[in-house]
Amino acid sequence: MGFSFRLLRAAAALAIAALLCLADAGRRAPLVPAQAAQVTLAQVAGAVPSSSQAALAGGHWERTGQGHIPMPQGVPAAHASALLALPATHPSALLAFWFAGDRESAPNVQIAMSALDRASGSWSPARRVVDRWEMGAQLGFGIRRIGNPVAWLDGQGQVHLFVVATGLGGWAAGRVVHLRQSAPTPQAPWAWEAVAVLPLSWLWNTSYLVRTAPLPLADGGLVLPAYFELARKYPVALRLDAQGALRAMAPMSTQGQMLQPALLARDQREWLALMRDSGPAGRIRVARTLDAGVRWSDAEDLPLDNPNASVATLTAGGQHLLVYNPQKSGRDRLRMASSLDGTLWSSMVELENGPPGSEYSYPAMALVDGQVWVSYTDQRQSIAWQRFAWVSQAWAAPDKGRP
Amino acid sequence: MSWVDGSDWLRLVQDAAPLLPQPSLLPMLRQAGWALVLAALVTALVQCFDARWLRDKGRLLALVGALWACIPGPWGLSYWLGLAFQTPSLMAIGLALSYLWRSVVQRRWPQSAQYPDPASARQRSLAWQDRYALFGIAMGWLLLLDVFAYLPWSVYAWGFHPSANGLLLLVALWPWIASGRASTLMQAPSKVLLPVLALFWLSRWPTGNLWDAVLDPWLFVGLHGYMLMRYRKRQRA
Repeated sequence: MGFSFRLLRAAAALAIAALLCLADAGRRAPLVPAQAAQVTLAQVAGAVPSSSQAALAGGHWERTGQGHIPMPQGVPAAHASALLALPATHPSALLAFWFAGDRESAPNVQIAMSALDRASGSWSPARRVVDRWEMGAQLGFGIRRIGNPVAWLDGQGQVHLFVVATGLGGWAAGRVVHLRQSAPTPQAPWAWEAVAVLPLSWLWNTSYLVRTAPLPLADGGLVLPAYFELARKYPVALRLDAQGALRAMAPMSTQGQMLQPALLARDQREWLALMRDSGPAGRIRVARTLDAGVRWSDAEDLPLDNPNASVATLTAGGQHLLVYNPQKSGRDRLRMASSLDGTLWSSMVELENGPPGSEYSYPAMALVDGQVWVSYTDQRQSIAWQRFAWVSQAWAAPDKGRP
Repeated sequence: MSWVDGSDWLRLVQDAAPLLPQPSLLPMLRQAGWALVLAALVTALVQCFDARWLRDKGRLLALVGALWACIPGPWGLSYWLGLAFQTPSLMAIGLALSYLWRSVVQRRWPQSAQYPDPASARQRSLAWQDRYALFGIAMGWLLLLDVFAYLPWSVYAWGFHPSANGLLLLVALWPWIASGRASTLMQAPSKVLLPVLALFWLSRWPTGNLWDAVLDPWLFVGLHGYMLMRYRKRQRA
């Protein structure tokens, strides 16, 4: 008798719990399957060839400029740049963000930015746009250090920043803070306000960092690659909506030594993540998804050396581009390579080849008006840039019969 | 281990977007939460000392700690506690409130209320406390393994899903299911868990993730201490 009543109560409790689940689910927006946006193809139509092998064989990327982005006055150290292309209607063509201060992890490190003027093609003087004290005041708790910035442009033309902010400890105590561009004023034409810390971990939300560029989605949202690095290092894909709010998270690998995933969309649903390897293999590691980020699995390593250093990827027209340090140790060389499928890469150009001990690292890439921009850390002192334009074979080597 | 092994589970936890809290109220919750937790900790701590003057000043010390936590900005304790430990869970805040209510307002010191003789008439309700503590410890270990990616699926991500709410409601109703008496809900930790779940459903505090609302790492550590004390008490009895 008692057992029957217990069963009845259990059934009643289950019914209440089921109703609660339904009511709770009803308050939420449905999560439609993700699809990578195809914006890069539209942006570069005409400037960069389509994906056919024949079209790509008829030209090459040629360096059309290089230099350094201005540093904030009197700041000796810079690292971890991120690039963000702006729409063609914007007076600035490209934004660069990086962290700058006395040294990496110094108390006075701030996020600096510079804008590339579309008309003149010159970089604006660097300005400091995010500091830990202001960010802490907005969030209501202290921030020990700030680090890698990642930038994203939403559908309304608002620039979002995702910035690493540490709690008690070094980078392994990092959190990801989401900042949204605030209304410009004459004194601060570029300003950001902290929205929230992305909730990623139960352990006081520590040890998640970002570094590499997000993958835009067709629904206006993005996939933000992030990674965990306390003792074990593993990458995760964060799906954010068109406002930058967290919608889903999926670990990409559990091997424990991969970080800083750089995403490549082979098509709308099949993506690759090329990753820095902190283990002894010294290779660029790969994870792959066939269902737009719901499930990831480890794929075969690329036959490219990697000295435990960040890589950058970009899809331009029909080809994928990769910037990486092509060596097992040291960061004194930086190379750009291209691929049609993301797995077979051919070397394109040596961006830097410095003496042993020099450092060219942490690249970022963006596509602006059909031109590829690459930025990277130069000796930890400044951010260098190089620009490449697609030169078709007909232009580079005219037909023999032509005058 | 490949993530393909946990694919169906991942699909389950990714079919609905998480509900997140309004960030504007979070600093206030953090200050109030740390104020209550600190006040409860100070109150509990002074009871451990024999010095009468310290016991007499216990409430004053707790008040000072709470007020200190409420100061916004770098002069406030919650600003620095938030740096390291973010926001205490709603459960920790609820337990702190319950403890302060008993010990300060009702003036029933916790030693007698919380850890009576196991042979006493209240043994059954204490057994519920132990069961909930063991559940919290098990859940905490799962979450900790998940943090370091030792599990084939993400327990933490499940905390954003509606089904986690249903499971925790069943856990909160467990004493009623087992005993048939609604009054058991007022004796067991359900009396704290049920309001915590209700507040979470309404506010999504502190992060939108259910596990952050019901079990923070310090509470997880505290549950180990509690169970250790219970074990030693049972050994002595």
